[in-house]
Amino acid sequence: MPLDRELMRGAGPVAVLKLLERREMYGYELVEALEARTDGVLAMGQSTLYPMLYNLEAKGLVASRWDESGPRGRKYYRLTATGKQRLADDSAQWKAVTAAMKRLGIVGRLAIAPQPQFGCVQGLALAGLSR
Amino acid sequence: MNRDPHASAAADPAHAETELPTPLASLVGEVVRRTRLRRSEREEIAAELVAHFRDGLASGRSTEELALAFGDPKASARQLRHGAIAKRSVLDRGLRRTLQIVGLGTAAVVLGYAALAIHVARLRPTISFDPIATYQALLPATDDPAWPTYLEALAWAQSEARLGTAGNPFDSREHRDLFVDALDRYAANEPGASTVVTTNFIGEAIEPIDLAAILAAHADELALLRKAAAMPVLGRRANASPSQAIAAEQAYFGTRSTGPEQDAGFADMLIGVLLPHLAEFRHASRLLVGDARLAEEQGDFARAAANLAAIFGIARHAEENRTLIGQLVAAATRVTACRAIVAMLERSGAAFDDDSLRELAGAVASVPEASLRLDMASERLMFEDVVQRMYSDDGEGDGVFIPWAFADFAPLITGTPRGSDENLAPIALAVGPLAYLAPSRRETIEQHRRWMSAIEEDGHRPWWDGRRTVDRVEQEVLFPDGGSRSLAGGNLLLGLLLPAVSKAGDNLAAQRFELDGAAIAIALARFHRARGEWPDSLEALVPEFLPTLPLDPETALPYRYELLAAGPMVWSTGPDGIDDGGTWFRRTQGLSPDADRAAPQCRFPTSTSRSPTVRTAVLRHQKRTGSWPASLDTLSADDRAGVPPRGFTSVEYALEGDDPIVRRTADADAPFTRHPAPGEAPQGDRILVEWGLGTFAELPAGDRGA
Repeated sequence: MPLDRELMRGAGPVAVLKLLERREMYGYELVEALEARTDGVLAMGQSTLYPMLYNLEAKGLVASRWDESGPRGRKYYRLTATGKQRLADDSAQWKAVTAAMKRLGIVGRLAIAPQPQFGCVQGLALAGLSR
Repeated sequence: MNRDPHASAAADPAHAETELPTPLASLVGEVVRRTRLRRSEREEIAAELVAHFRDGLASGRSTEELALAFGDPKASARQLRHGAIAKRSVLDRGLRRTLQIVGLGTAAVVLGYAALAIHVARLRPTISFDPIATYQALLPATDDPAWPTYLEALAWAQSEARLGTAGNPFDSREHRDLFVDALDRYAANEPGASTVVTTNFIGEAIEPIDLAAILAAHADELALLRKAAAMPVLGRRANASPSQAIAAEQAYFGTRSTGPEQDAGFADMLIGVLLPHLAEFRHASRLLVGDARLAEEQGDFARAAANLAAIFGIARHAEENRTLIGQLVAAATRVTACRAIVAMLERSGAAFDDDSLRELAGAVASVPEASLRLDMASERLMFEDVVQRMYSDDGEGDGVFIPWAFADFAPLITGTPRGSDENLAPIALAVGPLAYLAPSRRETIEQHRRWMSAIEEDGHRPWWDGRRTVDRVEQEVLFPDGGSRSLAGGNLLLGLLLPAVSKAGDNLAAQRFELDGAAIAIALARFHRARGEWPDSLEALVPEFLPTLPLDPETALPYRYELLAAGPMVWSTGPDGIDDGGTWFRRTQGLSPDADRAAPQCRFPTSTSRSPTVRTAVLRHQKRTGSWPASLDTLSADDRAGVPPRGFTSVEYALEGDDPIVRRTADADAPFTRHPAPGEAPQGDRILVEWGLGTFAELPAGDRGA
């Protein structure tokens, strides 16, 4: 289920920052990772991703470099110190939002209800993640 | 831009096309082109997109799949553009924003200006009234105009000037000047002036001009001139162009450069109306004074009186057209007549009979008060005529200044023929919108009306109230809060067309001295004829010889009077308001700023421009005690403060009746010297009558010009 545009505007940058938290990544890699790791919920086309990366770069949250060492030239993005701080802040906010949503009965029921393909433990783990 | 320069090959969209499948290559090309970013930014984006698609292809996705996943190229380009611009530096973005605003602003201003220029260029003035007809309606109507009689009476003098050119090196104009100059010197009884002029201005021999013979030969025409002057209405229409000129006038002015045959090019405007008759009136009054002098020599005092009385009729005709210049010519001819009357009575007053003296008295008394004040009627009309040709008309009395219309009238100012300044039109078009910065039609007309009313109003101020300086009218009447004629409160048109009123009003008002002097001189002559002696005071003339006692405009007190051995002497205190016992005041040296005074009843000025004088000390005493001091010894130390001690030794003081008289001791030996001592400031009294000494050689040089 592709996300509403307004929600994507809020969630997209945090997701990208989160993906870059461990290591630097290039554009196509980010597109693929977003698709795969969010079950397609936060999947975005290049037309959305690259302007978003430019904006993050303009705000100093990410930095980029060209790598010509491989067979194909690639532009890698990495998280800056400011970006890390922002990710921490945004994560805290998202946790607060999710908790609020849970209290309202929007998030909790969906997350706790065992999905057919997941086991009960996995379901509990998902619920824990969102706390 | 931290990209590796090696990537530049991949960054080139054209290069990318060779390495990517055509649909993807053209997709990258289109997106990058649509971003309209700077070249380096476009290269960076292209390189990244190319790398992206290569990774996609390498991971096994199809061209179509990748193209579909990319999304709308237009929206993508827009977002990429916003993203890339966000990456630019703060300074860069600020500059770009500023340039955008400035660019838009400039475009708006240029477009607005152009639109306004076109709008102004399409404005047309509306001629809503016929200025010539309106002006004619101001003039008195008559079935029997005097003007044709004037032309008939003066034709010989015109011919005289022309005929004189034969056999001498001067052209008619110079010969006329020579004739006029000889006439003036003869009329003024100037010592050494001959009745026969045989040399020109530079001493060369010329065909002799025998003035007495010329005047005697034209007795009939001079009689006709007197008849014309006695007629009630001049009735000269404003002949603005040759086609409108009456035949007689055209014949008269035929060879004269000042005649109406010289088309000013503005014949349809009141400002283009020519008044060539005024110069003829100056000439005619000279002829009459000259003939009066001849009559005096011949013992024909009735004719002498008739000539001088006739000049007042000419003056009345000169101001009939209600123009400023007409009024000034009228004033100048009256002054000439008054001085001629006084001088002739001083020389040979006893020879005039009662009827002649009464005729002269009647002529002098006939001058109405209105002739001593500016009448701006035609000036108003003239200005509003110019305004209706230079402003648009919204139908409610308002409108906008039209620069190109003004350019059309530039010859009025430059003196070039109308229509010769066509190259001004593009400039006028270009500056058109600035017209909205100029004062509106209504503002301009109202300002002009206020000015004209203020100038006329100023004529009602008593003579003693205000300094008679050259700039007084501009400083006190027109621009009381500062400013000047050239700025005219930012109104170009007003400044250009404001008549030279600075001295005009004072010149008209100053006729009062001349008229009073002539009236008193005539009354004195009649008194002496009747009683065989001179009166003890001017009061003795009233009411038998003078209806009322005229007051000195300088002080609003009666003129000063002394009976000397040769006869009576009458004088005004002069502009300083100080009675110097009849010390000569030289008119030609101008008026003194010491003319200030606090009140007309005050005999002494409260001048601040010089150190206190004995007169100041006397005035202080009067203010302190309420009465004039009996002698200088009664003055207190406070009264004397600041007065130089030698001041008290150089004057004598007496209380004559209620009037305190301070007279210089040096004057006591020769109390009524007519001319100032060498080096003495031109302060003194204005002599109106001095019996037995009469000449009027003191005619200012300015009165001699045409």
